[in-house]
Amino acid sequence: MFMKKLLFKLMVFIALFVFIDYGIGMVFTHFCDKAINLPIDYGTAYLKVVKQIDDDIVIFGESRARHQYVPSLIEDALGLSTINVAMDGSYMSQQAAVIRLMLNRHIPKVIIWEVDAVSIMDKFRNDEIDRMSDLNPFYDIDSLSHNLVLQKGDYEWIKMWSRAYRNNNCLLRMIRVLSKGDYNDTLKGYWPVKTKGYKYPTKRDRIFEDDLNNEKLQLLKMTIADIQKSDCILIIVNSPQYENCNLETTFQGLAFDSLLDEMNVAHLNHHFDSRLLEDSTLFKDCSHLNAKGVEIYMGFLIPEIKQFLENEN
Amino acid sequence: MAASYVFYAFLQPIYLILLAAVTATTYGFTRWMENVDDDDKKHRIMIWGIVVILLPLFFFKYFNFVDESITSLFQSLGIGITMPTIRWMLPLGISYYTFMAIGYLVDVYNEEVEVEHNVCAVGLFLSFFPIVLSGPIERAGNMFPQIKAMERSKPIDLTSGAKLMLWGYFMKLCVADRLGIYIDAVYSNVAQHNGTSLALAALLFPIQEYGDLGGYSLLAIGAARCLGFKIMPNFNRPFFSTSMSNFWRRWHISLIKWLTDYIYTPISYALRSKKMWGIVIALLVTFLISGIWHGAALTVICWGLMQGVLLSVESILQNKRNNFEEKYKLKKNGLYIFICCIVVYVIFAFTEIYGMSSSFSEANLVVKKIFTQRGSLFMDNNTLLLSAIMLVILFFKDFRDEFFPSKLQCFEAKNIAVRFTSYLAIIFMILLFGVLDAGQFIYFQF
Repeated sequence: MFMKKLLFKLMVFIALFVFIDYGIGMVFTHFCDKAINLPIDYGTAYLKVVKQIDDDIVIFGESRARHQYVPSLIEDALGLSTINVAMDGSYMSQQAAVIRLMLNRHIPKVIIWEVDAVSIMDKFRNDEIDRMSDLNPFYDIDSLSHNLVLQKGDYEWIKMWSRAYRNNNCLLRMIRVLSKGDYNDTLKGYWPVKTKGYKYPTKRDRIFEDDLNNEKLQLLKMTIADIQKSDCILIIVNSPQYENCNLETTFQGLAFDSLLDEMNVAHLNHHFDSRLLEDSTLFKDCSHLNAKGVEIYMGFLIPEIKQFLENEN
Repeated sequence: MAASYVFYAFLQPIYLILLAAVTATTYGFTRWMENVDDDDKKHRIMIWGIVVILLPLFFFKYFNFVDESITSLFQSLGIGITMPTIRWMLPLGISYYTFMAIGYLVDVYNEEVEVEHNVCAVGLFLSFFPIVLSGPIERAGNMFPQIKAMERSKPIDLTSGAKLMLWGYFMKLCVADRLGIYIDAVYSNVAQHNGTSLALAALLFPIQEYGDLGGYSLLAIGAARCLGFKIMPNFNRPFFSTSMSNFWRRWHISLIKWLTDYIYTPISYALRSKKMWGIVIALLVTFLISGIWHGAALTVICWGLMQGVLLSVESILQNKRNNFEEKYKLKKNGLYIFICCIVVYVIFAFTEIYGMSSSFSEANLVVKKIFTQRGSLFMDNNTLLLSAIMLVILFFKDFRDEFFPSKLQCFEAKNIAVRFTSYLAIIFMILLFGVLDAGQFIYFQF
């Protein structure tokens, strides 16, 4: 008798849970629809890429792209509308999924992608898998995003039934975007780093071991092929880092270079550019240039891109 | 027992042999003791039993630490000897099931529990899957009667267990892991952060630890409860303690109870003629062992000794404190209680700087920066705001349980609407604000 009562209560409880969970899903959908018309910010960038942007040049990457590529300078120099949709801490797999989704709707003239051989290493796989939740909004609409999200765990497919779980940790981010309102986004996704309150870095030494994840290499290859098939020009860029490192001579470094050669992809590699590497005051930390460094970097990168595009035409 | 062994085998199949070996050893020594009448011989069997049971723990957890200490001692004397090191993974839960086995052996010697003749019962006691990985450190006297009387769990066990697990998940995912994001960000880069940020991280760390181990303990206790077992509680609102001794009666209760019964009480009894100094020595030894149990590192051992010293000072000053409190009628003064809670918390948080640091130089740097290097606070608005909301919920529940246990009931409310609302609120809090991509429980490393 008591067991029957318990089962009945459990059924009512589950029904309530499903009802509220569905309601939460609807609220988030409403928030997303509103936020998509606002400037690029955390939590909305990928939604905008997939559903809205229509710029000629789209910049992808992680923090090194977000804080180092200035769309307005590129627009002025090339006369093509440009947007920076890079996100801090984003990984190549996520970017690949978002690029693929964007290409289904909008084919830009040029994609500038800050990606290097670290992106095809196995070492950061766990962190990368943790970040797959950024692809939750596309779980139901894209097979690649679906499969990448499911890499999070054996029971992820069950968890994804819950709309609340899908939007884990999104609420505050979304409120922040909405509370900022429709400010004038002259920076178009570029976020300059703070210019005060940090010490200039000392040059670091990084030794990478041979470490290649073939699955990621294949994903990168497939994404490049998709971009090329869509008649979009792909330029892979590597910005300067204040370090001595052996990445380019490792197994993954060689595989990365050979893939770009094989697929005939433009690669503007400034990882060890001597114009910046001798001056620590141009860096915020060993991985990122500060605003002064960005100005110099853009000063020689944009003419290179321009030259490349002229040659292509 | 089979289910527990399968569970363990999924995690670390090879070390299942070790768990089985410790079980067989414990069973063998207790049966041997049972067949001996001579007290001295029984005592020798117990000592040998403890030594044999401790061997794997020493080998896996402390060998490298002792080995490195000896090597560095030789090096400081100018002797270049390199000792062999072990590169094996620490068997999960070894510290817990080893202490449970020793407790059982000593209880049998003291005739506090009867020898269990069924090897499967001993096996289940030491491998019981909800508690084998991170405790609580259960006692034979509590577990064997439940194992013998084992029957299908009742609906009330299922609901009670589920409620405990739900709150455990909240403590772990919404409190501990949320705070962990900030604390890790600060402590992983001590050199870059100023004293203000380090002080905040140091102050938050005890709550993170409480959420982590307290949450995990509730998960274990709740899972066991669903199966019809009642496991001892491990935390009892530790941050409402008005003294260090009171704190240690509320924090990691199962470990402290074990240490009290098997280390502190025998030593203080043996040294009873020394009066207060006997207690002081017993406290120092007990917490030295607590430090060693927590980790094979000098900083953690130092942390244990700090607790021993603080408790010793408190014991010595206890009479004076009692007189002071009675003279000014402070025992029930809310402000006085509040100040005492804060003082205890801050002292514990300070000692934890040593407990969590990987080296003395790092711990000393943190302390030095806290006192000398003020600056603007390292802020992560989302994390700090969410942490604050979660902490308010946690402390509201603990405050209510401590001072008004029968009021403002949520999970235990008689009105089903209130109960369901509180369950759903916590579930959606976990789904929306929990850190669901976090790594392992901190205490797994013990």
